[in-house]
Amino acid sequence: MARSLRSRVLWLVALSLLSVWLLLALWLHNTVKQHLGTALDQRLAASARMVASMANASAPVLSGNPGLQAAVNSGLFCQVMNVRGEILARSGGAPTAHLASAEDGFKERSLEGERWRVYTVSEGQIRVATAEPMAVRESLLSTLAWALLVGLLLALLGAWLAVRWAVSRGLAPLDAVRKEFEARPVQAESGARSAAGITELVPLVAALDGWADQARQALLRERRLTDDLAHELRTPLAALKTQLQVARLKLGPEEPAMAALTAAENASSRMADNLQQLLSLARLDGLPQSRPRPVRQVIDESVAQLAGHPQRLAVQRDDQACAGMTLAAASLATLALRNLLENALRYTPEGKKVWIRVVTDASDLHIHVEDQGPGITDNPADLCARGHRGDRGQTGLGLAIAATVMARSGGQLTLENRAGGGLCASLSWPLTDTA
Amino acid sequence: MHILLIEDDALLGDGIQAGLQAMGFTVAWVTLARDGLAAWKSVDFDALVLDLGLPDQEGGEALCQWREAGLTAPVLILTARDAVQDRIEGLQRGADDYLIKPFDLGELAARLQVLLRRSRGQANPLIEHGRVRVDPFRQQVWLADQPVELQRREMALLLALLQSRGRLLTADQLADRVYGWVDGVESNALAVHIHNLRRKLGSSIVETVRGGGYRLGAPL
Repeated sequence: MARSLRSRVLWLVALSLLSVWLLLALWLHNTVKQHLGTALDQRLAASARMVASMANASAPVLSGNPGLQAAVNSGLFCQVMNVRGEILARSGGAPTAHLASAEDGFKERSLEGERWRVYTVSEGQIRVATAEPMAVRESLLSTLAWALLVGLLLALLGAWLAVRWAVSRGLAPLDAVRKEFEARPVQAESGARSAAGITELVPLVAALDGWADQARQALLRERRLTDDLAHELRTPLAALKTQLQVARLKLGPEEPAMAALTAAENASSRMADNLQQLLSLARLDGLPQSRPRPVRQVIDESVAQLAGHPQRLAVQRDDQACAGMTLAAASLATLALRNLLENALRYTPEGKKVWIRVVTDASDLHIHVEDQGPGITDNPADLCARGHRGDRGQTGLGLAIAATVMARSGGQLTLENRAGGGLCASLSWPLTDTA
Repeated sequence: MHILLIEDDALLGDGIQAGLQAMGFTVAWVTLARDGLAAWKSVDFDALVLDLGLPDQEGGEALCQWREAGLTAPVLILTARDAVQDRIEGLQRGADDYLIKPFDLGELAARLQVLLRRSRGQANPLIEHGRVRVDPFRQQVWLADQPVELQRREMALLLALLQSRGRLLTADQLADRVYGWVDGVESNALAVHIHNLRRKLGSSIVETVRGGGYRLGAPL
């Protein structure tokens, strides 16, 4: 399956963005968590020290002292103890159990089913412990983490959309070059104009042009060779045929040599036919794929190519079934159909007809060529093999070429004797190759 | 009908010349483009048959130059190149028709007849002159609806006169059209053919212009 350059760039950019974003988010989360913890701890310690200094400076403080209340709002709780550990005072809502730990400093403790962050400080005869529920701290941290995550996700989404737009804009010249190459016939000379001035595309287009140029040159050489070959073979063949015709013109019909001359002329005509077939095949190999054409036009062209055939008027057609349909491999189809028609005419007695019938079924389009000749006794596969000589001495070059052409066009050639006598040769293509 | 054949292949040129002559044409045959040019400048041909693959110049190119130089006679090209593009190119360079080798002699003759007829703006393949009717393609002649047997040279002579449309033709011009470029034509041979033609189609068919030559007589 073809991989898309656009998807590749998009995925690589997306993965890189996501990795950087994730690392950034983790680092931010940890840093914020650490700094927030420190700030909350400092608040806890400052409150404890404030209460301790107040308690030492005055008489023992009882619950409800306004200074203490001020110090311990915002979710902080406080206990004041003497050195024996007796609780002298505690803030409202503070746990009844001892908050203070054995040593001064920070400690996490579980009291009355709740976890607490406790700071204990001793000052003179007084010990003060301030505490904060861990749940409060954790909720604060998680709220912060969520806010951070949502912000980052929104930024990520924005970045993804921006990257998509940028990649698609950035790769637009590539699309333009592709379209130009697609629309360009093989024979065209110049490179893609849309690549002009784009550093990355200029060498690519130059390389493609180099290849196209080589292909074009090869095609031209092959054409020239084919044409030269045609000239070399056709001129002596024309001389042979003309001289035979002159001899026939000069001899009376009763001359004993007349039969030999007629046979020689027929042989030269057959040689010309075979040469024509070989040249058609050679040219097909050199031709770029043709554009799709209507099926009826393919039939028209095949019939038109019979011009000069003495029996061409015997061809009848019934092609209602293919009205509006087109064939992808039109040039190949034209050659195959012409060969079948020539073959059918060769074996059809004078006064009889050759029918072209177009039939479609669920999956295929069939062009049947039905003749009223003697039919076939050989194996159809043998008849379609190159170099095969039929039981009437004919060479099967026409059928062999039709079979080769059909294989190349994604279709099939079948030969079948008709029930009422004669041969039905069928060209079939899957309906997916038609439209 | 006087045809200039320009074909470099000896065997083919010889065959075409012999075949067309057997069908009643008078054929002058050259093998090079430059000889073709010289021939066209010295003799008035009814049509040219031109091979495209000549040794001294490409036939299409030569034709293009000749057309520019004023050649108006119809030209049929013979080509071994059958690609559609080649055929289009040939016609665009000034050819009136083309045949792809190998071809049928009968078809070549028929196409030449059509070209000649068309070049004279004549739709009917039969030429009529008074009571005389001629089918140049089938080489048949009728006088007052009665078929008349003519020899090949007599036929060529009659066609040359009919196609000149009353224009004066010198004895040399007539001999060119009847014999082509053949050496050793007896001086009185043409007079013999004229005598035979008058005997078979009536004396007024050929009018003798004293000291000038011959022309087609008034229709009866």
